[in-house]
Amino acid sequence: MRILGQLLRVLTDGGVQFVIVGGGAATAHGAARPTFDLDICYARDAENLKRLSRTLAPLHPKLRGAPEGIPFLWDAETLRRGLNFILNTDIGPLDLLGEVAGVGGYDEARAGALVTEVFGFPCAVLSLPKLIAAKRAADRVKDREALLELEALWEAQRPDE
Amino acid sequence: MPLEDRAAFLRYTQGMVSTEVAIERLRNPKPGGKIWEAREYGVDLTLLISQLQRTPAERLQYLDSVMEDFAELRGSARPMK
Repeated sequence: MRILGQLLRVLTDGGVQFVIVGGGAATAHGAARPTFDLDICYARDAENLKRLSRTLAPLHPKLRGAPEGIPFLWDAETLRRGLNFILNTDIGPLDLLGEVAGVGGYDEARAGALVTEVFGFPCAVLSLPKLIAAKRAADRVKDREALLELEALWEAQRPDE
Repeated sequence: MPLEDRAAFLRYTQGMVSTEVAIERLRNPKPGGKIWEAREYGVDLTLLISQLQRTPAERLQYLDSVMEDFAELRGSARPMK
């Protein structure tokens, strides 16, 4: 168990409510394009923000790509005031999304999610149709290319039309 | 896996065709369909077939190893304390 497994283990052990989205979700559904960070959509209720803050604090999260010296206080209040956080941690890169474009927040992401046991514990993964909706909404060049794979995977796996 | 998670997994996968059917669709895309379009664009469908032959958990475990290799290449991997 390496970067991805360790991050998922820490989040799960910390009781954080989250759904795997982004490239990790695409891989879980069969995409072949690699990703180098973990994207999660997290629940924004006060308890979950506390859990997320407490769980990740030992991993020294820092804003990825921010200039050195920019003050960044990692706590539940910072999470409450923000929405999406692009982080580096002691384990590896981790993107926290309060909302996923084209999908919504945690509740919408969790509804209909694929729940699968990975690394010995259950993880929720954004469903393939919602992942396609997210990629369509994001509409960056890299998303458009990923979309071709995801739509092909959906056509391959969806129930008979 | 707890019972409710197993039930969620079954609910999800019951909405899908079998792996064999999915792979057959990837091997023989319908003209004008999304699989066809992806192949025309240059998506390597054989890689998708390989991925579908793994379980979702195996795909994430494979990604885990790829991420680690990439991090090592960048010299940024640090063991968890």
